[in-house]
Amino acid sequence: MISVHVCVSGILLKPRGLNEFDLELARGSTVRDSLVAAGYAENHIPRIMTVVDGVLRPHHHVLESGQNVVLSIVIGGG
Amino acid sequence: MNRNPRYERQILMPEIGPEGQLRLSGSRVVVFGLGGLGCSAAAALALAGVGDILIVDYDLVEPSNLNRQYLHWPRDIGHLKVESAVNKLQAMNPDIHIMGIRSRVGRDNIMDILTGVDVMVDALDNFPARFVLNMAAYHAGIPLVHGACRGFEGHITTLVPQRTPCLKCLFRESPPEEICQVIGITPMLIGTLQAAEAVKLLLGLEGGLWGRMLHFDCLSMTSREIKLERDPDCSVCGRGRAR
Repeated sequence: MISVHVCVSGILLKPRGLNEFDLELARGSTVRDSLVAAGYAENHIPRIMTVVDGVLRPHHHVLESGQNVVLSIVIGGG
Repeated sequence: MNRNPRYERQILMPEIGPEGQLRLSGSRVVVFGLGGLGCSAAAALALAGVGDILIVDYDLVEPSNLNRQYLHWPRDIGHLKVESAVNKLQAMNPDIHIMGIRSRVGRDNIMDILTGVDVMVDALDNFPARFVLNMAAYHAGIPLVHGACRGFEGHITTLVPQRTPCLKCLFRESPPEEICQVIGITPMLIGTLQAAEAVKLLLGLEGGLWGRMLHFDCLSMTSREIKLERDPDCSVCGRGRAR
């Protein structure tokens, strides 16, 4: 198992009402797996931008234990 | 030397000076989209004295635009955004050339629009069209200043072909479309910062948002910097591109 720390930023809906929480995930889990484990609905996941240890990462990025994952909504308006 | 008193105060800046002002007046920038971002970016570029500004949009002015798109006024409702914006920008600075192009951005017309362009400003409101700009910027070798906003939040980065990630490196797919919630202060901030990035590119100044994205939250008044990396498998600039 690995453990990652998740922070929810800005106006993104917070699962469990928390700004920050820890997740236990199976080794080899991706960013997407963490979003599912955090409780986000499938149809919300494409709207979520993920920053892992300060670097913007795609949802297929494989997480490592101890990493910090910041979630915010994908911004596309003009 | 440019003796126009309009630019006196910025010519005093060591980063600009008379030579920099001449460089701005000899430059061409294209702003795609005349919503909240595009109005602010185009106005800032016009005031700075960028000599040739193209503005591209297809839409008509609607009442719901008026909370943020300050180049469009109540009297412009129902008129073309490009006409409305050209009139205001030309009145703000009669010494520059401003051309409006009423068009939707597509693969069929984008390269024609880019003829002679030094910097592109992405002020669009949807990812499919943003991806068209990104592809064209990469192939034409033109820097693209990307900005976006939603609610109190916005972000900005500068995408330089061969030097930084491209937009497809950052977002592989378009998120689902939505009616964007927004208050005018956010696009006014982000659009003005896009103009700042464009001006720095034109002047060859350091400090641009290359390989990093600034994210602003005007609600909490916080900002954070996000590092950006190229996607080796990117369909535009990486191994995944069509040969």
